[in-house]
Amino acid sequence: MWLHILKKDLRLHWLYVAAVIAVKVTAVWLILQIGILAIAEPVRFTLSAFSELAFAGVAGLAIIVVVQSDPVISNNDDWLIRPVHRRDLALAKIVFAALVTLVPAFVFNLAVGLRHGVDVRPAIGAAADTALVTFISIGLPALAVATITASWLQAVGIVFVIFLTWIASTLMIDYQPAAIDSWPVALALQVILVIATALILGLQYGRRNAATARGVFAVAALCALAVTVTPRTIDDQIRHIVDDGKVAATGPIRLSYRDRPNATVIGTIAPQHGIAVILIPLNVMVDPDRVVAVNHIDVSIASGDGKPLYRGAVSLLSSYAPIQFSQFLSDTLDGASNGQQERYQAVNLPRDIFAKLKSAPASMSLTYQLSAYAPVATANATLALGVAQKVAGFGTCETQLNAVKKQAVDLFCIPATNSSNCLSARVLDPTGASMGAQQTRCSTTTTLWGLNTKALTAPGQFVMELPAASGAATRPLTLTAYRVTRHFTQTVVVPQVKLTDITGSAGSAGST
Amino acid sequence: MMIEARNITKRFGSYEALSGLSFSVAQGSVYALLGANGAGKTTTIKLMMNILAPTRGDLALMGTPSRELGRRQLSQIGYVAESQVLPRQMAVGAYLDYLRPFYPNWDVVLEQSMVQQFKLPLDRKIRTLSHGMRIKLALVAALAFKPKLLVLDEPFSGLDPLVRDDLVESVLSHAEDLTIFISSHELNEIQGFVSDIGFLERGRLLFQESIDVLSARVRLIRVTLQATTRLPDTWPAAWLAPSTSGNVLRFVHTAFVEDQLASEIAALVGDVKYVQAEPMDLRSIFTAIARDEPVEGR
Repeated sequence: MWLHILKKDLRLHWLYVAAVIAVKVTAVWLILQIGILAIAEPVRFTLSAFSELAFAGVAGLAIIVVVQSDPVISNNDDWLIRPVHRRDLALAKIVFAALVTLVPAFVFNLAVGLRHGVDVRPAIGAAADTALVTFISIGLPALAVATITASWLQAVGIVFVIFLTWIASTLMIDYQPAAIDSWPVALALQVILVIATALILGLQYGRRNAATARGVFAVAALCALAVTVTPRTIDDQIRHIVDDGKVAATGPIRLSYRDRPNATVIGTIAPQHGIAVILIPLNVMVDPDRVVAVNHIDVSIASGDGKPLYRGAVSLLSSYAPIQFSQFLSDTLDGASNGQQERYQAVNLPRDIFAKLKSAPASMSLTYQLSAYAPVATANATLALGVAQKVAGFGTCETQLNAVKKQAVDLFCIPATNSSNCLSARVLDPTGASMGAQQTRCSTTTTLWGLNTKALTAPGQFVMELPAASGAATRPLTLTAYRVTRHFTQTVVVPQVKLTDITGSAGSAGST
Repeated sequence: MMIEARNITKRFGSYEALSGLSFSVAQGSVYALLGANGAGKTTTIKLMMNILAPTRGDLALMGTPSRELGRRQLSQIGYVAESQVLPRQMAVGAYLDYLRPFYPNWDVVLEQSMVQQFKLPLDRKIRTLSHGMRIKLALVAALAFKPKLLVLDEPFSGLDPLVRDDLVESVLSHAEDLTIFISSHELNEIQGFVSDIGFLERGRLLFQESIDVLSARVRLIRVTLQATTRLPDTWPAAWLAPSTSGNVLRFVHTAFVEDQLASEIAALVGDVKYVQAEPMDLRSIFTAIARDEPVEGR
């Protein structure tokens, strides 16, 4: 009978379904206009973001209206006294929610993927994953809200209140929260949504217990809010434990403190953040043909007599680099960087620890959680400027003129699957020789279900700036795809930190 | 018994809407639950239909506890209520088309004949129908599957007499093998066809019995005395609303037995010139009992 109920809902509310499809078609049209590989113009990008938001809004509203056409909390509604099985009614509403969220998301994302040259299987995988996330993040909350409210206005009001509470929460916290697309955060939110919706639907359609169902909704909303304001350090720790659980002691990189008489540790209070940052001079040596990604860094400081002073995580945010200096350690390292001198690790510290380091000598150790990548495929590709092109063994790439630097092009690439996590590129001159240094990028692509969930939704995941080949419309490139081989740790010990505070000096004005 | 309620209590927070309600409805009877607005009639029906859950007590329809009513039972129960919300955006025909597959016994011929009888416009949206037309549609949707039990919650409230008569006639024409449970505060409109009544006041059932027995035991008594008299200090509980005017004494006798009346009166007020006992209509009985405070808890 659920199909009979669903057909009735579709006949009665076809306008809402049409509106959902129209909004999705508009969103896809905008994506196709912009191109999934390009960094979009602001106006187009904003339009695209708004069209996605409109899709969420219209689909959510359609679900609320359809669920409330046979309201669960009513005591007067016709279906209550009919031989309508509540399980059939719930199933019909869930299928409707899937029809206006999961199906359009799957169909249109698949179309976008195929249109951009992604292979069929990875395109299906990525579209299915995106559709599932859409259903969980739009369809399930709409179902839950609709079953515990009496009108769409009430439902929209509740959503608005939750949104305002979330905004207020993010404004009130004085720490950096975890990224919403970080897999522990996304997974926690999805688990909360699935469990809460299952409970609410069970309580409402099974027992018509609105009071308990509303209680579950309130608890779930609070839990979801708490997850969104989880400190980034906790998120880092979770990912460190789960992702880097099996670590080796050695890897294709050697990091060491550059202990030279003039290589003192310098530090400053960064004017733009008001936080203290010190710079540790390092020697870096990476095995040729290997790529190393820095996942996490722990710092521990002990006083001269060995007493622990501080232990914390180093922020990998580049904006913490406070002063004009030669080279900071990036989060991706390869053999091409071996020849570079004057490498420094920026370490953010509490100001009281910074003050102690100034007044008394201390020892420090930096523990790096690293991932090593080995090449799996190399391809020579000649990419026409501004045209997305499939690159065998990797994915789809495109080159575009750099908006600022006339002598550079930007390379955008997306891997369609999780077969590759890092990509390096070098531009070839007409003789086949390499122009400039090899550029390497590793992606934070989530592989929650073994799929690259960002393949269709996060344009230009691998963005590299390459030197422009002179006088040619096409860019002959050598692209190398890498796959992770192992996770390992490496510790750098600084026996004695001699901190020189350069706060306020001429050299501390800018940043790299 | 088609309906059996034992010691039903329903609380909404601290408010007790029903207190220890017990009644039973026999198969084939037409049972009217009477009571003023707010007496608890609709709450009782919502408990019967499993729309609400009782706080305490047992309630069964066709032998099945109300909380366990499933598709099988609901496909044998028709329900029409003044407050029933029909799907406003559906057309009349589409609504009937939608309902049909849920009922194994749906009689299309009966449905069509009732649609014709009530002159229901199949293409019109339900939201555009008048209140009377909506009730007619609800009645079609409640009778087309030939239910064993028809539950009517104030179905005639707000209807003009013509429509009401139409509906009553229609219900009665399908009353064969049908048990009807009807709630109402409009006594005149149900008097002609109910067989049993229950009288509900402030959540308590004051009495329930067959309408024949009730009509037989309740009389308006007019006593003409030999001389002007005062009301005596003590008064039988069965005598309601006593009043005197000159040498005439009036009261409602709720336990009238013709043979005993003269001696009962003589024992209380002395010499009597003559006694007149008039049958009362349901409204007058209802009013007399409702206004009589001591009746409560009898």
